[in-house]
This record gives sequence, structure tokens and C-alpha cells, in this order.
Amino acid sequence: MANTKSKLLTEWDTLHNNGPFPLKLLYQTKLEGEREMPKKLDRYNDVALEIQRLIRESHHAGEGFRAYGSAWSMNTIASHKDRMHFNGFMNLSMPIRAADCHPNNTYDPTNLFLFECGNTIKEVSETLAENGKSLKTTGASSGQTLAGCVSTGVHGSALDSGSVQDYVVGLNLIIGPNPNDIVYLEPKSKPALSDAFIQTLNSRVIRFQAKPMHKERAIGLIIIKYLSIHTLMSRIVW
Amino acid sequence: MHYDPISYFLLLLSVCFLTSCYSVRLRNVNGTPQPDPFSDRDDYYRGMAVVEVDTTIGINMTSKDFTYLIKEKEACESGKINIIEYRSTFGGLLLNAITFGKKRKVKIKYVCEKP
Ligand SMILES: Cc1cc2nc3c(=O)[nH]c(=O)nc-3n(C[C@H](O)[C@H](O)[C@H](O)COP(=O)(O)OP(=O)(O)OC[C@H]3O[C@@H](n4cnc5c(N)ncnc54)[C@H](O)[C@@H]3O)c2cc1C
Repeated sequence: MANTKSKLLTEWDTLHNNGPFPLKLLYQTKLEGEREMPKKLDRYNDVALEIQRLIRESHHAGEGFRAYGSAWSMNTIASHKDRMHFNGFMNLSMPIRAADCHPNNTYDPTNLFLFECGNTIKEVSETLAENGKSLKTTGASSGQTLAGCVSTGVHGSALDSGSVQDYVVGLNLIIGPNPNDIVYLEPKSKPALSDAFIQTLNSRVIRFQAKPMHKERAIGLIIIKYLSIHTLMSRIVW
Repeated sequence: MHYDPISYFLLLLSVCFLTSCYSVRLRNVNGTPQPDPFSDRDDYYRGMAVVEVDTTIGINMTSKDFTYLIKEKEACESGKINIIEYRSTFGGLLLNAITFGKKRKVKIKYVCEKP
């Protein structure tokens, strides 16, 4: 079982000390060990249950709960006055097999990877390099987390390719404490994962009508297990 | 010019002290240091899970090395090193000199790979 530690605090700060900002409780969750739970998907689903437990706990206490990555954003956006969760240890990643793709998938399966939210850009780049791939663009430093980058729309863009959020073709979100509250989102017009694979993520699939993209982006899939940020969905632009 | 032996000695001592105190740090270009969001360090290791070894080891005249095993523990879950810093201090040099090399001060900081 994934393991969470918490620390009572009065304040929290970003990497560059843009705060301090008020905070009551800081959580960090570590994945179950590989030796105890060898299958990555098992660890992935296991930690999702743990995050749901924390959401429930915060909800019962009448307090807010916010995920953060590397705290590199130089303002208040990552802070929450009640409870915050450090995601850095949630850094599983795996290539997607062709057999796990949707029958109408148009992406090259070798370009599709599942990355958990706490992977830093450096970890993403290393995983991709091990598979003979790379991100098309990158920024200067690489300690940001994937989820931090996607939710703030940062880290490297060029004339012909956008920043990290543009690599995402599907999102796996935890939106609440109940079994139905883990969802997988992807555009109906460009499905990537098979329903059977999505089921192994214990997720409810939502294929939505996306606005047409102004440009076809061939780069592969990054699916991220996100923490429960209800507002997040409105920030995702396809 | 008036020559004060005590100030001269103190000056010499502080020069020795300052020049013998230094750190050497090795850092992987690959990999990521294990983070520690609960840490309140404000130095180079901010936000990292640092293990500090500050001990004295016994080395006999003939053996020239010492192996310190890095074990998997909470601050080093992967058991693999990402950053290691060795610090040399004046006290350490002094201890080495007065024990004829039998006792060595070991001051090391290391940060493991993020699991
Ligand atoms: C030294 C440095 C160098 C930088 N270099 C560049 C650069 O070259 N190019 C560039 O474009 N930007 C750069 N930035 C900016 C940086 O990329 C952004 O601030 C990025 O958002 C930081 O990511 P993070 O993981 O630290 O996110 P955080 O700052 O921790 O969080 C950002 C937001 O994401 C949310 N969030 C994080 N994780 C999750 C999750 N799992 N679920 C839901 N919400 C989540 C947080 O709640 C918050 O709203 C740099 C910043 C620094 C400090």
C-alpha cells in the first residue's frame, strides 16, 4: 500500500521563496515498493486509492486539498491554505503497447507513454531517451513536474511545436474520493487507448468532442495521473 | 615594527583553518535527487533528502581505504547515489596528524537517486 506521511505546518514556500504562504498540513505519498508490488500498474492504481483516501480525509475535515509538483511556480498558484500534497514520488512511467491502443488510434504506438504526474521533465526525457525518443522542445531547467508544466502551460515551445501540454493526448484524473471518480479523458476524434486498457487503470472513460486543433501534432501521448483538482479540467485546452 | 607572537600564531591558525576547510561535491548529470518536501534546509540541498555522515573511523597503518556501505533507508530509498559531498576540515587534519593517521574524521553528505 502506498504510504503517506504528513507534517503540521503553519506556512509553505516555493523554491524561490515567493512566499511564505499559509498552510496547515503537508502530505507526501510514496508508492508501494517494487519488491512488495512488482507490477507498475498495480502501484499506479494503489497510489490512486491512497490519494482518494486523502481527499476523503480532507473533505471530512472541511478543508481544501491541493496537489503540487516541484514548487517552481514563482507565485501563489501552487499554494493552498489548508492541505497540500507533494507529488514528486508519484513518478511511474511506461510505454504503451500497440495492443493497448484504441482500434481507431492514429498515433504511432511507439510514441505513446504513460507518465504519472510527479515525473520531472528530466525523468520524462530520460525515459523517452531509453526508448529512442525525446520531447520536441524543452526549456532551460528540467526539475519541473509533468503535471506542473501541463497545468501552467510551460517548458519549451518553438515555432512549430508547443510546450508540454501539447504532448498530452489523454489525461487520467482523480476528481474525488469515490470509485467512479477516477476518469480518463481523451478527445473522441483522436482516441488513443483501448477501453480494456483504461479499465486496468480503474478509470471511467470520457471521450469528448474536442475543438479542432489548429495544427496536427504528431508527437506522442503522455497520460498523466492527476490529483483531484476540479478546476483543472477547465484549464485543459486541446 | 612591533611583533606580537600571539597575534602571529592566531593569524597562522586562522589561515590554516580557512585553507584546510573545503568541500568537494560529485553530482550525477543523469538522474534526479531524492526529494524531501518536509526538509527545512536552506542550503545547496534545499528540498532534498540528505544523509549526513559525521564520524571518526579507525584506519590502521597499512590499510589505505575504507568502504562505507550505503544502505537503503528512508532518506535513500533507491540505495543509489546522485550527489556526494566530501568535506575536509582543519579539525580532521589535526586529528589525522596527532593520531598518526589512525583516526580519520569523515564528513560526508549524500543524496540518493529519487526512487
Ligand atoms: C529554475 C526555474 C527554471 C524554469 N525554467 C523554465 C523554462 O525554461 N521554461 C518554462 O516555460 N518555464 C520555466 N520555469 C517555470 C516552471 O516551468 C513552471 O513554474 C512550472 O509550472 C513548474 O512546475 P512544478 O512541477 O514546479 O509545478 P508547481 O509550481 O508545483 O505547480 C504548478 C501548478 O500545477 C498544479 N499541479 C502540480 N501538480 C499537479 C497535479 N498532480 N495535479 C493537479 N495539479 C497539479 C499546482 O497546484 C499549481 O497550480 C522555470 C522555473 C524555475 C524555478
